[in-house]
Amino acid sequence: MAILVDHTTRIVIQGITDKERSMVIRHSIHYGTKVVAGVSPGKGGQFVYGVPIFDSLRAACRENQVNCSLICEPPESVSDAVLEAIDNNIKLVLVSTVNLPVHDTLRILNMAKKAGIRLIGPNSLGVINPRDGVKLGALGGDNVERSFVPGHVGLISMSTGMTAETALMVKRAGFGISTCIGIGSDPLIGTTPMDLLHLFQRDEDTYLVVVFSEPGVNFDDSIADMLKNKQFVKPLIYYAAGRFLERMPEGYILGNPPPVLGGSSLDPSQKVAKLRGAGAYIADNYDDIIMLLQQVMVH
Amino acid sequence: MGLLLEDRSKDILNRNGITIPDFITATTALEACEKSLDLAFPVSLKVLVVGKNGSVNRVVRHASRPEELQAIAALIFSRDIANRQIERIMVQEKPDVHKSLYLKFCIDYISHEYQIQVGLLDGAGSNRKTDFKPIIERLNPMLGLKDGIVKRIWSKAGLDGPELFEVCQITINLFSLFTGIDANFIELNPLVFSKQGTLIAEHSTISIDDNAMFRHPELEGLVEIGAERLGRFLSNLEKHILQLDMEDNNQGTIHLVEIDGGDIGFMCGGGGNYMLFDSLLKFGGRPANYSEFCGNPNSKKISGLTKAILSKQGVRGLFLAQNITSNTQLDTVAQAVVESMKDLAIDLPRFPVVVRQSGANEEKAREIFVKAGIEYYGDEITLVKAARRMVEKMSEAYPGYSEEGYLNWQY
Repeated sequence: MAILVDHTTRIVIQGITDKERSMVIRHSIHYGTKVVAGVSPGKGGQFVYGVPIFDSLRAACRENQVNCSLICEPPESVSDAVLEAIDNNIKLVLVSTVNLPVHDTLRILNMAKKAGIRLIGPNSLGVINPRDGVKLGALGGDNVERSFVPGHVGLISMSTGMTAETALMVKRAGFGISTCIGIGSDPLIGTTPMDLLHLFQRDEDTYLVVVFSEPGVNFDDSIADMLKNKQFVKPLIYYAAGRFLERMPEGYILGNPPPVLGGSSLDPSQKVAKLRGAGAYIADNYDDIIMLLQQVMVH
Repeated sequence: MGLLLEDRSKDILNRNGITIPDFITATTALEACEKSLDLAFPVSLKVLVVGKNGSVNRVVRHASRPEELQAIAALIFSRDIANRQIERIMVQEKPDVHKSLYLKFCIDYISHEYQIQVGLLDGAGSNRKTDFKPIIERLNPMLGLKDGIVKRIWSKAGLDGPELFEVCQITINLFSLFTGIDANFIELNPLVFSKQGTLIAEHSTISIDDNAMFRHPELEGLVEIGAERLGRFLSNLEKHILQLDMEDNNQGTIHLVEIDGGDIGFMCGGGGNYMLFDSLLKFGGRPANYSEFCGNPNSKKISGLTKAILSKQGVRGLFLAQNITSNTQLDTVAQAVVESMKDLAIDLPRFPVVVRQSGANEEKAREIFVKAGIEYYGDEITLVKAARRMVEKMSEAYPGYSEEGYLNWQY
């Protein structure tokens, strides 16, 4: 068992034809993922690494049994692509596009919620289930096994880039991944760590979850509440990057995400204190993830 | 996150049917005095800068006579704020206030909705009391702002009669503007009824989503892009990198923040930047900047970023590190970085450089860096160990390089 994607996942890629997006097809197929169609208006009838391309999502869904969409469209086209996915009753959608305007993000998140669709992202690098050889998105690149081997550790990354790196830490510790999700590093995202912890709690194949957190996102209160309320009772290892920001002038933000309304402070030290108090295992240094995994998994 | 300085935000409000006070802008005290002759006194003087927490103006003083204005303006231009000389001020008519209101539209990142915030302020003041709590309602982005909600919320705030009707109209206009220009937020603090019965946006702040600038050519040149994030105007170098980044929004992202001091050029990609910055400091390194590059930036972007980082006076080394990448073409990065260093005539065997990269086309990247004489690691070491190696290499190149740890680092 895994969460979100498995051997039944059949993927259509919306926005497929340039070099980088074609690369995603090639890597995914090589890994064993069922990419069954691509959509690119005007390119219908072509093939990319053996995957048929259609002018519309409707045509792609008509001829293939699609249950998942990867949206790689440029920012100005994402809203329409999500609407198309909703119209075609696709229940799992991952938006990998970066730099999406915030008003567009609000619209697509609300559209997806209303339609009962699970939307991951935007700015998500992907989801991987190594046991079934399924990867949704660019995650893992052309050498997935470098970082992702099958196992029982769930991984939630709030940083696009640190997803594969943290999976490698799991591998270095001697363990593997049940499911790994890059949730997207934008302040507005469709699937939160809390949503995933609920899924991981029910997943028999996941014994423990590792969370990589960064400044600019503010889910820590809610995660701590889940631990305190026993909504998630498996071990949770947590790392929060960016402690140097506590020494910067107030309100100074270096990276891309802007402040988030509500919740606790963005201060990483406060985040970890709260989670430590709730029972999470805190990695004070990034490399401590290895030691903590070895300690916790032994028990 | 881009801010509009108040003269520009007021222009936009005016074009969208919202009354603003008459104002002028000036770059010298003399100009301020000359142009203000067309204004009715008393007036408010505001400095047009980006302040702490991304505020856009500071009301410095009020002047009731031209002579007073002259003295205040001269004083303002003789000072600086956050080590930056004041370049422009705004002088606007000060309304004779009957009633002050608060109105804001913003994004609610928790509920994924819009928020409207309203309230009545103390009668004649132009800044809200510290214990002021606005009435807040959430708005479904799919449904927008309905007349009924506007009327209900302002009634709850205490408005009635013709005033209620007029404020409701302005509120609807403002919401239309908020969504139409892709604002992160628009705040009128305050929106005032003058004693003559006119509804005026006395002070305004507009923050624009810079990711949406591609569809707002009308805002070209008006928005202080990135200023809200940094609490100051961008430096010329930061602006240059921003322009370069925006040339093609779909070809990866580059980002640069200048920092005072430091001697290690920080060129880190993907999501490990915060962790890498933490690690460098911990081992005693002194980063000279903050930067990010992610996605699949093209050669031009990588080259621009490399040269920008290395152009800073005092930079004595370069740390180029990325988490394991899934889609960044590492050979493209390698080629652009090495060529940039050659263009800058960097003495590569002597100039400390540590590279840690792993991902697509890694072997080609390794070949390029090693051939150039650059110390290269793949995933055989962790990012933390790479940061440590960088500081060690600085110590090897510059005996006595501090290893006292990050407690000595000052922003």
